[in-house]
Amino acid sequence: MLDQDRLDHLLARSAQRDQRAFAELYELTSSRLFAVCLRILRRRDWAEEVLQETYVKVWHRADTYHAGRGSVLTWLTSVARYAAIDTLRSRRNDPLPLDDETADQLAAPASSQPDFVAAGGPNLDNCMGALAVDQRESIMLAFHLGLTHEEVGARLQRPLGTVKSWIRRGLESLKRCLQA
Amino acid sequence: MNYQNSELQDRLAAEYVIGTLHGRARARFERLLRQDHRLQQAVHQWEERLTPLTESLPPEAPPARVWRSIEQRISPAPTRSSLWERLSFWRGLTLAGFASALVLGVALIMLPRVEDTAPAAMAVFADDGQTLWVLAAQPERDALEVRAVNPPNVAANQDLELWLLPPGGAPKSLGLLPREGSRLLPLPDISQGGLAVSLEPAGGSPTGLPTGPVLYQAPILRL
Repeated sequence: MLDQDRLDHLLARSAQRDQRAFAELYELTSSRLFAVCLRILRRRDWAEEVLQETYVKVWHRADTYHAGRGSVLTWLTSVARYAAIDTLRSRRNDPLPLDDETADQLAAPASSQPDFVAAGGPNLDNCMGALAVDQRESIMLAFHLGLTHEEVGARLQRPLGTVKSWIRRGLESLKRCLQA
Repeated sequence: MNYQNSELQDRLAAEYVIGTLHGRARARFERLLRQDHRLQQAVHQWEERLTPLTESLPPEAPPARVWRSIEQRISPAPTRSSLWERLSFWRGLTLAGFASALVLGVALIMLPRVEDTAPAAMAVFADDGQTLWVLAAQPERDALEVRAVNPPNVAANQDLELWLLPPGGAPKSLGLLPREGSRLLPLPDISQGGLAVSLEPAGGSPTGLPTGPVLYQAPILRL
């Protein structure tokens, strides 16, 4: 696990234009953000570009971060994810083929995926595991691959309305479960 | 759509964070998000809930060239004496709306006047505290110089187009904005109206009017 306090400190220093602190922040977090971008974009050149834009943006906006915004890592990851999603949608004409292995891995229940069990803490993991398979699968496809409702529907060969309601109800259950 | 409904707000926030909100709905949501504190809170809560899912991905170290590029872009530029360089303190300055015009006015008064290159009019496009482009009218060259400071990224198959918005008239295309460096555009009659930037297909709007979303607007400061 990354040390939250360290990341807080480094971001605060970066907001004061401390480039060495920013370099360390990059050192500690870039491999995670790069993995997120790669998973969504599936092209290394695009992922590198988005990663670069992400950190330049973070550097310029470091002073706008505040604790109410969530953890530093959440903020960085969100900036990267949104940039990757925007890039994906503006550049891609046809949906990229999704290999079955990736899709199956994403859709697998948490219990059969050691990686997912360790990830996200027991709460999120339990709550994801408690979702109906269809709901979990659609949420994972959308979240990890940046797919739209239409694309998730095409992928799962289910009507748009069905997928929309799976995702909506899945997210509602997730929220309730995490609050419990 | 009623964005004040908190249940709807929360649902849209969730769809924004997970990524299924797309196209115009996503752009519209992002615009609202900048102003709406409750919407921001809803988004942050969903980010906090869902982002841990990314921890399942095996980390992958990016190549060293990525950091080198970032480092180049965040390092302060060496001091030079051109007008542009003296204006470079705008980078990172938080300017918005009316406040930006005020600050700009003060900044221009404080700048030493350079007789031969002093622009007749200027405009600054800024977004969320970042200067995107600075424009200067140069009547002696019959040109509008556009300098990219921190321009947004657009896809290879898209361009950002600059428009003059004459009061009561149709937008008039002034040309495409540079992705980097500066570009000279023909100087239009800018005695009235403001400027806008729209997202267009590569090469610019095929119709002569904006076809994509209008992303930024800026007043013209006539000096």
